[in-house]
Amino acid sequence: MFKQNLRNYLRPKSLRQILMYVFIGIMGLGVFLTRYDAPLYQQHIVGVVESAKQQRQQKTTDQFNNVDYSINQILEIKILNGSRRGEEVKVQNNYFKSGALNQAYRPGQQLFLNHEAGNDISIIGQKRDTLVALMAWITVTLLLVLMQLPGLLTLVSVLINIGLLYIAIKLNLNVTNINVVLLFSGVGVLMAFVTLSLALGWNKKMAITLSATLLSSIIALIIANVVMTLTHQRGLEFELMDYITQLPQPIFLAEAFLAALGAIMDASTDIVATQFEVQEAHPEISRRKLFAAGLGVGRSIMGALTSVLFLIFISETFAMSLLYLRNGNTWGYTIEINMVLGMVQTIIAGIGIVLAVPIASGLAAWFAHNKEVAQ
Amino acid sequence: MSTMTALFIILALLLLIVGGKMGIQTIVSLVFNFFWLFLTITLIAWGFSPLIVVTITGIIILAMTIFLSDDNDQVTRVAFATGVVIMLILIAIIVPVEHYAAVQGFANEDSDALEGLSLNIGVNFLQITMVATILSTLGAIAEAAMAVAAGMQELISDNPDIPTNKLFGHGMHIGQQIISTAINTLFFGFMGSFLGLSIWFIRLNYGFADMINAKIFVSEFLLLIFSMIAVILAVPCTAWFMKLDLQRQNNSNHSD
Repeated sequence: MFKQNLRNYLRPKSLRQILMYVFIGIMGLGVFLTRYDAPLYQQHIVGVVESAKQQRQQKTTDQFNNVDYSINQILEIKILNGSRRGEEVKVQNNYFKSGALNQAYRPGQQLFLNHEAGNDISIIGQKRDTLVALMAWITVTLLLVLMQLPGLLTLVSVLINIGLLYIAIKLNLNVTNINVVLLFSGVGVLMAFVTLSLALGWNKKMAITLSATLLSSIIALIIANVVMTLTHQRGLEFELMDYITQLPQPIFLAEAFLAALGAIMDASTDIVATQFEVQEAHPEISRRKLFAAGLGVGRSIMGALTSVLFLIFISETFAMSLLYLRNGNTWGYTIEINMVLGMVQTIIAGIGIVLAVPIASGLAAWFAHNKEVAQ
Repeated sequence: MSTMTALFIILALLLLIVGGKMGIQTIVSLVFNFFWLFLTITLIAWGFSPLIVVTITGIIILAMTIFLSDDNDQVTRVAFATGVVIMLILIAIIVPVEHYAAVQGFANEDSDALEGLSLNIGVNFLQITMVATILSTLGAIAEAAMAVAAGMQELISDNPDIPTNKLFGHGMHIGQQIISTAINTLFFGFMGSFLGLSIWFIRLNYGFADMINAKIFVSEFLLLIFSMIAVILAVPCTAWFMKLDLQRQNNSNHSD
């Protein structure tokens, strides 16, 4: 039954859809070809593991009584590009069984290799481009096939936003003394405009949704700033942020703003769209009732949306928290070091999401309400 | 008062003012979700099997998020069933893909943060990565399933005469309306958490080829991709379960 429903839904109904299926097929072929793209890598040597033999295994115990195994394997690797193409080399690989920083290699895997002094070769890391291409292809295929035109527009908006983010980062790195919070919130505003234009088109509904989104996210950012100043940022250790090579606090706020923006757009879109539908179904509805309809939708989505961001931020810290716990640290210290910053970012985003509920409902009730009919 | 406490009080007050009873439920669900997440980490640190622990706590987190955000029984029932099925499907995809990707644990870029820590702790980091990936998709699954289920439920209560065989198509149509914002919620959410890393990549002039093969990039990329796949798959699944739920309801009404 499910199959039949789905088959009906997926059957190509126009030339455009047939072209889409052809396009997806061609991209799939491209994914397959990345298995053979080694000659394109000119800076590194690419090799494929022909065989892997485990040499010896040694038990290790650290000062916290964690037991692990240090393992040594000998790999036979066939080189796939460059002047030594076709040559077979033997390389040693040491790894720990838990695999926190290094890994075992298996026959069939492609690796990047490095020339050492003389003719020795060392391993840089695994070649993962085929997997990345395959997963991207699966996602794009699902999006286009199941969601059709809206899926395509979603894909376009994501790609444009990646481009805008790239430009913003370039500006952040190359313009001295640029205000990082203003830069990324400015780019965020532009991204929201692009995303909502593609999702809703240019109309009154989009204008109201965009205003509600921007108003809520900017108020949330201001609240965050005021609270951080009043509490002297107690408990926030920005120097713990990963991969940061510039003043961390502005980046922290920019991250919270961008993360919040998507969820706030989601909330505002749902609220405003429902209010427009209600208005259409009941043209005589009062402003107050229209506002209440918006609040009702908002209340039922604000929790789930905050959870989406919370789970994203906290999952990122999962491996590190586990490492802290197994290194003899207390729960309190583990949370403080690894999770507090992500939790504060989620709370700031949550404030924005909750604010969007009355703001979007209010703006739509005020500007979309059909006065003549109501009178 | 610490900044986090102050901000949390503001969030809780806003939730109460805007949401009333629903606001209290949201606060409860957020606090409990944190508790379950932390319990997951603790149980794994104590040596329980990561994949079994996450399957159980994952179902609990889905239940808390879904049942506490809406009062409509049909919507929450269908969304929860979808959530559990999609989570199991995702586990079946995530386990082999992460196995081939081998992006577990940490990368050279993390060396500053790892200083002074013992890394050889006898925990299977590949499974830890799978657990983190599964957890990060749960919110997205719950949100998408709820949106589609609520939309279909509203449609049915407005037009009770919709023939059952049209319902799947209507559900897919509702999915098309929410997909853009749902995917963008994820994209922006992940962009927020990757911003530091993205700046790092561009500052250090990682080329495209270096980036798409880098352990740390691929691990973040897979997190984003899996939650997008989860959202897309949740749409037909919710549409189908809603239809089944209505058929079941009609049958029991007729037999009354």
